[in-house]
Amino acid sequence: MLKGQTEADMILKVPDIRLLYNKYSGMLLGFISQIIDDRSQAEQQMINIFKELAKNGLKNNLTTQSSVVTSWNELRKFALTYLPVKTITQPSMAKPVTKQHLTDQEQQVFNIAYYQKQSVSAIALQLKQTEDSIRETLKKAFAVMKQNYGN
Amino acid sequence: MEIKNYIASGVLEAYVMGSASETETAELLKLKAKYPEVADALFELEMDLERIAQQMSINPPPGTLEKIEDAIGGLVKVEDRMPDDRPPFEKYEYQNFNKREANNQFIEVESSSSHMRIHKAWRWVFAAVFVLGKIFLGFAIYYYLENRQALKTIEKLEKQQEVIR
Repeated sequence: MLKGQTEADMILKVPDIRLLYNKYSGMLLGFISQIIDDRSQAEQQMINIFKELAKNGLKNNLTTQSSVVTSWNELRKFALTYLPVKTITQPSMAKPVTKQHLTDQEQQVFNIAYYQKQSVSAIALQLKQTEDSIRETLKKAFAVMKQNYGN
Repeated sequence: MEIKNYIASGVLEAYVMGSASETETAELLKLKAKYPEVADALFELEMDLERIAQQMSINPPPGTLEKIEDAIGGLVKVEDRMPDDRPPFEKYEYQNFNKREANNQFIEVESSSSHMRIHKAWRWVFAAVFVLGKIFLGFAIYYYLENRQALKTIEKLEKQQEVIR
């Protein structure tokens, strides 16, 4: 046993893949399908991502860190590190989240952040806008979607 | 700084999306620990993202979970059977995710999968056995035909010999 580690520390903290699968597989496949058009490839990518999650869980366990994924947003961010980057140059190029309600700019900014996880400064540079206006647009996009999807 | 203004600035949305800078993230995490309003707002935004994802979800085809479990192969903790002086990575071995103990901490070692995992080096052995098998089969057929032909020739020669006598 490693120095300073207790017996309890050595208990494997592999993420419960079945639990994550039951809760998020539909969302994950829907998300991946927005990035990869081919359904069978999207399914294969989903399998790979769950496999990486399990591997990552073991790695974290050996370094005594906790599991990385406990929510959809964490899973989305984790998945993006294994997915190809979707190029979004026009608002319509990304399948919009709520096309009837978001403006073109809100849609584009949201999709770049959501599907590419680009930084505010990178989005500002890409769209030739200020960082403050990007943050403001993101905020508006969230507000519109919250209004439409409700609680 | 007025915390309401901070929440309204759009930094939280950028953070949730993974678009905030390192400085913004560090500041936000400090404020999150200090102000429950910030933590609540972040939680709400995460829930909003989850609702969006639910709207776009696509059910995976049946059998996908089994494919994932096969792909994972599994990892198990076998510390109880290992001496304490062994390095930690030796305390883990492949296991199956289908069977879990009730307390969910320990994982059963016995596999119910119909698949087995072997080292990649064995593929060359299998390839060599396959090729050698084909070669032996070829020789066997060749010598069988040769032998049959020889027997026929002998039979014919014997008949000719009888005729001559």
